Amino acid sequence: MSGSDASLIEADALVVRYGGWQVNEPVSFSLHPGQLGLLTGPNGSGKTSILRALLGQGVGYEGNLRVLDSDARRVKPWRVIREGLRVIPQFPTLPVSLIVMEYVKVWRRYNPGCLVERERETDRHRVAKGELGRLFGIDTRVPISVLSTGQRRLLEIFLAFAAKPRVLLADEPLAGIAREFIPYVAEGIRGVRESSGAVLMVTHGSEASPWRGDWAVEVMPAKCRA
Amino acid sequence: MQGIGDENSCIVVMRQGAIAYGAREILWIDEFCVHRGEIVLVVGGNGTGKTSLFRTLAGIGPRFTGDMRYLGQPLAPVAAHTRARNGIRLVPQERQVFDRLSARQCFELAVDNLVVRGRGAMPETPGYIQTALSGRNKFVSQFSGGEAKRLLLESLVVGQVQVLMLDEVFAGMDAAAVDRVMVIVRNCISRRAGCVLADHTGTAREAFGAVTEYRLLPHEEGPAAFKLVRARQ
Repeated sequence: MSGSDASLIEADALVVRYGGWQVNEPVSFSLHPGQLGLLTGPNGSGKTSILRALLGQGVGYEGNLRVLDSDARRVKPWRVIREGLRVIPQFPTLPVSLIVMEYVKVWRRYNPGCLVERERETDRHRVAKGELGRLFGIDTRVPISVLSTGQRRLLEIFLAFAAKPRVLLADEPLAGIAREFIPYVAEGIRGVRESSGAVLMVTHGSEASPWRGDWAVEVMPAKCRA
Repeated sequence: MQGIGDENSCIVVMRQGAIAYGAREILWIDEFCVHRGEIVLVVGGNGTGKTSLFRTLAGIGPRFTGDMRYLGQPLAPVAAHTRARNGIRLVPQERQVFDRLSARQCFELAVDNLVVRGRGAMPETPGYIQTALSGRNKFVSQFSGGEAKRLLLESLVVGQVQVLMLDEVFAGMDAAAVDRVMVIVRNCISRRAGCVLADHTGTAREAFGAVTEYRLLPHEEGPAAFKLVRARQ
């Protein structure tokens, strides 16, 4: 259906709108398999809103936005997840009352893409149990509410990579993450790209970020906000 | 060079105790002290207890089992809102603002609560809030993550600040906001307040150079998993 050079995300003259309020100047970009695309720009210019539009979270916009061969306006959140779209959100969104391991189990259930090879998945699951502790010092027997903000983000990053996404939306993936984990995040992103997935990242220069994207698009606030 | 624990120059001091959630001790502190005009960097991995330390000082988090003093007086019995009014300010890591208030309401609320009427001078409205919100009753829920953090920061530095705690303040901030943080920190220091930062980005260390540094290290003896240690200068 789609050739190897078909873009996974395509934005054309995209303007995010909240009601009558225009958020950004039009932006255009296309994200191809294997690429890392960076969205930069000042606070409040609509970077996170673009990611939310791609996730089908009901963000209004003008222009054209396609993700995984469908119009973002018609995107159903559960369907894009099934088709391999994953997100590392800006602020952790985990259910705080669940035990970490409970959450990992629920997550596994709703990540059918990861159950294709059952045996291997079991292996990976066993690894996952140990890895959260070994990599990040996360105890999987405590409620998520006990984890620090940084640990919650690490858990979300870990699961996003574990899902082997076709498209990963990473919203400031290094915010609040200790420097020692930067190689881990960089490695995960390389993994996504090498398995012909792609990463769309929101980032600020101020983090002294190590990313060298295939392209960077600066999202600017609309000059006239009418 | 000020001696550590010198009562006269310490704004806040914590001694010989652990930060504990109920019976669960997480961070042992021999001595932690913020002097006047000092920038203190708290360095440690994710989940070692930096935010818990800040929340304990602000009075909204776990308790401290040892001796905790603010300007020589015991701090433990002081309520969180009184601490904030007396100048112990915590700018939290995540956006924690009233989503259903407008930005201006948030700021006015902060001014009402943090500035003791008749004493601290009424601050001028920061340019950020003035220009970004003029003529617009924009609700906090409509702000982006970075904007909401900036708003919170601006609202919390009004009035008399004695200790300003900035928890991962550079995460998600654009260049203009980072510059503004630098100005706020330098203002604090020049007014002899103390400033405590947790920062993984390295921005603070780069910008402020020689600062006092405390590290959160694994703690072998005792129930707490980590201990707070003053790094050599």
